[in-house]
Amino acid sequence: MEEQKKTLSIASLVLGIVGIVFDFIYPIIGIVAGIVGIVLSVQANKKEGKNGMATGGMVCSIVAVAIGGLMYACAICAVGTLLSIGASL
Amino acid sequence: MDNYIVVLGKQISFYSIIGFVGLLAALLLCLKRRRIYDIEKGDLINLFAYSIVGIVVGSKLLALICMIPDFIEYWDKINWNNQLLETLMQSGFVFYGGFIGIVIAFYIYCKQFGLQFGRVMELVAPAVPLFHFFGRIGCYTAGCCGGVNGFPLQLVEAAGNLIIFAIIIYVQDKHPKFSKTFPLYIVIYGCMRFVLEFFRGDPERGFFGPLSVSQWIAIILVMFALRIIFYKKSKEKL
Repeated sequence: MEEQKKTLSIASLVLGIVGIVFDFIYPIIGIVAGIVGIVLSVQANKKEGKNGMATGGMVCSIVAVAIGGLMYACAICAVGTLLSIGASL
Repeated sequence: MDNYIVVLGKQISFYSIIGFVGLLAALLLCLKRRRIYDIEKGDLINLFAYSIVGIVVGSKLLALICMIPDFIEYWDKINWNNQLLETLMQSGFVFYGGFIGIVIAFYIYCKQFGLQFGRVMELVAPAVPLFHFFGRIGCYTAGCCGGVNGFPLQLVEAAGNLIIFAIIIYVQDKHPKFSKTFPLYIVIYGCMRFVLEFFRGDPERGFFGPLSVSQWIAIILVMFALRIIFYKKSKEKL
């Protein structure tokens, strides 16, 4: 019996792991990778059936977005950041 | 008092921690009530994952859109470097952006996988104000979204969200035939938000004419929600 391809599951797991790694190097890439990984893991769950890699991909991707979000602590909710950049020039 | 803790040398804001607690609380609530709306556990987990995408993309996108006038005004002075990107990522989020992001994400999921969008939104109707309650507590710890002269408007809105949560749960449990609690939430929260915006002490958050961006969004969403609530009623009378 031909084993069902799990392309989406593998991709989501890879992106999730990459996202976690990049969270500590360049968090924006980590968050983007995590977001794409989440979408792919959901697609994998529905189209490829529940499997360990898809679940792992979802967990890792959510963790990637979570860690990336923690790195960018929302200390200031202000558009004034642009003003501060302008003032510092 | 610091608004963060240090873990492995990294500052972790209370805002982030409280936000995640809120997300978990919303998920647990939906898990407990999913059978009422006949939503499979697997679909709920998938929707939770999509909600993270919706929240992050939507709330940040709207925050950046609100900054467009400043981008235009300071275009020549802006130093386009990595620091700018880092600063923009830290420059906050807009609730309504995340809210719209979640609705769009859920709609796409329901459309693709054949779920009833209305049922899904009824399930999440009480979860949104519950999550937002925690979010506003997080805003208070971060010192953002406050009122004029340092008034803790975040706590007022948090209390308001908790009351809205209680109202939605009450209506869903005592009047199960009323299937418009999500539009009801939009109406109640929209009215509350419209009024509270006049007492906000952060004028840099984005204005369009005399009203803030959130007030304009509240007006549009309330009108849309009222149409949904009353449209079916008049149709049933015929």
